[in-house]
Amino acid sequence: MKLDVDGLTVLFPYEYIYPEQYSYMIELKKALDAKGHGLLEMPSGTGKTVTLLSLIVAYMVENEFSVNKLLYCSRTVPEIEKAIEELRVLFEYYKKNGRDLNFLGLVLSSRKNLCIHPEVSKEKDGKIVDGRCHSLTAPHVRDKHSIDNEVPICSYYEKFDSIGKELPRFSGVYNIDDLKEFGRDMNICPYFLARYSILRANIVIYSYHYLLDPKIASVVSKELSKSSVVVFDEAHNIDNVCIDSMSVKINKRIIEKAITNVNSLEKTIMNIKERDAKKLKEEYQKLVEGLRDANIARETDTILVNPVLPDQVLQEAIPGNIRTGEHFVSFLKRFIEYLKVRLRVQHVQQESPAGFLKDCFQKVCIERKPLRFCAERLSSLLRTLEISEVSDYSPLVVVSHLATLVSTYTKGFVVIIEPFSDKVPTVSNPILYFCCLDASIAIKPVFERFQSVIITSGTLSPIDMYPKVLDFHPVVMTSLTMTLARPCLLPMIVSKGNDQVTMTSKWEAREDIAVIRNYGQLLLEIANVVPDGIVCFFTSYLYLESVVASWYEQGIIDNLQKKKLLFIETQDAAETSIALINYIQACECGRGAVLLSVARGKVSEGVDFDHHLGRAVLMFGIPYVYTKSRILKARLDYLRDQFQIREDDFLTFDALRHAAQCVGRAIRGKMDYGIMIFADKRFSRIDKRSKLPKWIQEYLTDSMCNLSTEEAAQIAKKWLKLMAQPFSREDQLGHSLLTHDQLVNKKYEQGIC
Amino acid sequence: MSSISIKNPLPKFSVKGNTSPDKWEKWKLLLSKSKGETVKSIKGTPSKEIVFCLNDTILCHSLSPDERRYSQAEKEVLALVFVCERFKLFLLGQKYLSIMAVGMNDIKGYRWESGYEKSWEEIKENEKGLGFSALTESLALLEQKKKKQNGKIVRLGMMRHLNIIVDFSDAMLDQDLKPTRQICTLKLVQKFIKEFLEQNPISQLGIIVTRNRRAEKISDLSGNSRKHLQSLEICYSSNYCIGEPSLQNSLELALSSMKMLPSHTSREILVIFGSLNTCDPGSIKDTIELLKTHGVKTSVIGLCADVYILRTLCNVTGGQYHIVLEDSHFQELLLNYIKPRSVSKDCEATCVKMGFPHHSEKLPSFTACMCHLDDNVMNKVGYFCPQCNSKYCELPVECKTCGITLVTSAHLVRPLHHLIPIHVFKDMINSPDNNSQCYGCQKRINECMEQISVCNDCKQIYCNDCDEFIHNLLHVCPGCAVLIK
Repeated sequence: MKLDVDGLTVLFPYEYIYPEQYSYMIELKKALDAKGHGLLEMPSGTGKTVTLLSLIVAYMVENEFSVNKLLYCSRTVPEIEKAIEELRVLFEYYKKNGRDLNFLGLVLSSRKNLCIHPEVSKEKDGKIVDGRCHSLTAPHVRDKHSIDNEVPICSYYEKFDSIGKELPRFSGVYNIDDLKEFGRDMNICPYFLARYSILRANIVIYSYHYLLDPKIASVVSKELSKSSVVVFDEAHNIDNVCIDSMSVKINKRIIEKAITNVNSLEKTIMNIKERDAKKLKEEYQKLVEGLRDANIARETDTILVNPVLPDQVLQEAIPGNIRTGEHFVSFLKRFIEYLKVRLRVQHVQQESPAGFLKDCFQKVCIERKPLRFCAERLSSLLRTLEISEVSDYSPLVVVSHLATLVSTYTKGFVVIIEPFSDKVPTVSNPILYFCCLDASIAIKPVFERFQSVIITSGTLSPIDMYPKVLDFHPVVMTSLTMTLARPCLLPMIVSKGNDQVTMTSKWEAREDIAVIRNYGQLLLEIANVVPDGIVCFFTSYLYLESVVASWYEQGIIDNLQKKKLLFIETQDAAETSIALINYIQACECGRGAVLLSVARGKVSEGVDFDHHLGRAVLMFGIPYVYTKSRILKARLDYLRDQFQIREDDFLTFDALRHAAQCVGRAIRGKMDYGIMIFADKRFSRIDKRSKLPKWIQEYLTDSMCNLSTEEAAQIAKKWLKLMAQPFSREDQLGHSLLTHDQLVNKKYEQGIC
Repeated sequence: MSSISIKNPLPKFSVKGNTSPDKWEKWKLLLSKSKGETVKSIKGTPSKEIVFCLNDTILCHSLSPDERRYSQAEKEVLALVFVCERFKLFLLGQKYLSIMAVGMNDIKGYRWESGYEKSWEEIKENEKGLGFSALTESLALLEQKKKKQNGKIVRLGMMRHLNIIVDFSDAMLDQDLKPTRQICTLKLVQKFIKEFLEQNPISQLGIIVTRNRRAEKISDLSGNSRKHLQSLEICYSSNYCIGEPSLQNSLELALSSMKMLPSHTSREILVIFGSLNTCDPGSIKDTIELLKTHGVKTSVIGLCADVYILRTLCNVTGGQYHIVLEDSHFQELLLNYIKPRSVSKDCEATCVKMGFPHHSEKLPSFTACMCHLDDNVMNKVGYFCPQCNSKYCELPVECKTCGITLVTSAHLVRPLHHLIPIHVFKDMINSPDNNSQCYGCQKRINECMEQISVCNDCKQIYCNDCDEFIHNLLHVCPGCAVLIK
């Protein structure tokens, strides 16, 4: 259908539109018009992706010069695939309407997903694929090949190198399989072709990391034009992604491996020196002249690129004391030795990067300046030495990253050395954390560079926290609700058991046998009335284990298994995925199943439980992050000092966005329905309740708060019967689903036009 | 309890009921024939009106402010007069009738046994300002839709073979249907069996129960309702419901009895399922595929919530899946299955050989009939199969010797109204100065009636009540019938 959004003609590839999709378009257009950033929340299952794509594509068609590129970032490969399929539908719709878009839309993914090399593509581990690809495509390997035909190279890459860049500009939509097929037809490497083509494509769909992780971004995304629109979908965790991409963790194993790396590096240098001293000299010369032009267009070296360096640093030449290979190796050795000494601690240490540097200078006489160049120097050296198995050197690379980061950033970071890990406080397992505390550091270049950045997700509430944490000023900040023809979600806050004992996961009460029994009773009663699948979320793995153990003693597990099969998420990813497969099977064959999982775990983030797979979601307690963690404490202190965010506010914000994320798993569309149970008294407090997403709050009336187990089961039973009554698309029409005419009428009614 | 008898103008009526006037609204009136057999039930709603139900037909009379002030006895008489006036056409000629009013409290059981009832939440304001529950409104909407669809002509399977699978797992002891799901289901199933075989005399029916992970056939496919009803009697005991049900076992059992049926019959399974899960020995998906290949239509009435596997079962085999809201809704859903379903195009259309035996009253000697061979009952009367001369005491029946279906012509005619349904009447907005009468009940159509209907063929005018009565029960338009004569 053809829409008129505030003066912009938008082709929407479906016959019907949800009212909230229309409002979303209006908000989005405001942001694009203002060339500013936006923060938009809209419940999952309301067609966010297609709304975004159709509006931005229409905008690009109309305003060719102000916006010429869309970078759509999502989190997982399936989500990326879904987005590209929506784009395909949109393009076909344009074609049907006689407007053939000469646009190119494509997916960029890792080598692991895109490789078509007959042997390399068989590898399962992404890192190994990267390493093997590198060993076939590195410039020195290819040089060797030109002398000696025995040295294997990748024919696909060779083809790309010879003709890839001269290929005529093609248009259309290419997903991962299309790219691979295109690659096979042309005998050309799809990965490098995609990486090269994103510069010319109009719409690029890829993962967050290509933009946020400075190590990757500087290679893949650095030449993208400024007048692009960037969209981060499913971005409720964007601050954590930013922080993770800038943090480094070093434990004893990495140190040990780094030492072996350095030793082998030393040996190689000795060898080369005997054989081919000229090469090292050439490198030295280059380094004297300056670093930048040494690695221009080294496109195959992605693993080794350095973290972001301020521009002025790059203009300088590499300091003299690490210019020659041997010097640099001994420099690295000293630094690793220093780290090793630092790891030998008995109690927790926390210091600022400046303190760390000072200590480093005092102990091993390493200054700040050479440290800064550590990563760059290492990558240059590895290249010179023609080492093809670069993935073997990753521990050393990590250490060099640490060196560069710690000497570059003084603000917003902290060094923490812990002698024991949190889980087993008795075994000595020292870890050095170099933590980023400020999410805005990693995302700042993105905000500064691109004219519009849209952050969107199903659960962004409380929405006002994101501008603070990410330190930006959105021009549009809206939370949209879901218009529904029937109340297809049933949020309830269950605060007490039938025996009136308060249910809470508060630290003091969580081990109380009565509380655990009441949680069990709640699950039992819900399992009695809810068909097919039920998903439960606990606050942590530890709590999950202790609760299940005492349920077993109380006989609750036995009773539960009479009704449904029981599956438990564990920390082992393989085990969990087997459990998930069986869970789905149990739901589909009519046996019914309960999945016990953990908020913040794999299940809570990536897996959808639509329709029968998740008729009810139970949230046992509020999923606060582990508050005793030093990293968290450091971050909270930083947030308080820098952004004036109170600790409590941030913790609640974090806990509730995870809770909302968990319960939001159950509803994936308007035909779907699900029960959401928050089993903790504290949820009914106004400061918690008001922070839940608006679309949940809307249905969380006062009569749904503070229920007992029995009341909740009664309400659920009645509601399930109502939901099971026949319901078709016609029932939604005009209310939560609009045709074009209805939309026009509605617009006049509301006075939007 | 008070009792009133009226001698004139109609033979005999009696009204019985709880005497306290404030309970009047909750009364359920039962209009019954002699021998205590219920034909018509009449019940009250919370609003200030009297509602009468005559099977599917609902009759409603709002009490005027004056009438609301009537005493108990006066209200009862008012109800009587009202009923007699409206049902005059159908009551005249009956030997005698008694109307009983039974307080709702007698049926409901203890208050604390029922769930939380937040009746105030269901009341919703509509544009007329009246409080109507969202539920009844949606049901009424459905009813209207159904009425609209009536006019379509489809091919129906008239020779039906229906297996009823009833779940008797421990989930059936739940009390959300009164008194328990088990008793409620049994009562309704018995009613259904009677009605089904009455309206589909050439069809056959079988009963399978599932409990304790097993399936058990308690009554084979046959057209004899008495036998079915008898076999259901054992299911009434409260400890009959145990364990979990097994959908797969029962479906396979049902299938095994239907596999060999000739292809012109309509094979159907109706599952009444109270549990939320099923305990199966193998993959149920294979069983569903098997049902599909054999063309068995499987419909499910669920008693609590939408279960995925049941929905797939219905979708794949082309049946319907419904969830019961309350007992009256249950009854309505169940009785819907009395109407023959449409059959798929590829279903074979063949001539079916049938026998029309004559009833011979005077036989030379006492003989045993084929249906009571084991009981050693001998009698002189019976029907004789025209093909093999076996004797039967009841029709319709499938001849045990030669396999031919024995019926009377009346049996074949009875389900005819399904094939040739009466046309939907055209709705008309009543004009206030209309002075005509309803052709059904002779009532003057005045301004208080909002809608009237007109038959497309004979152009006679009917009031809403008569319209519903004609379509749901009578299946013949009186105006058209008179015209033909």
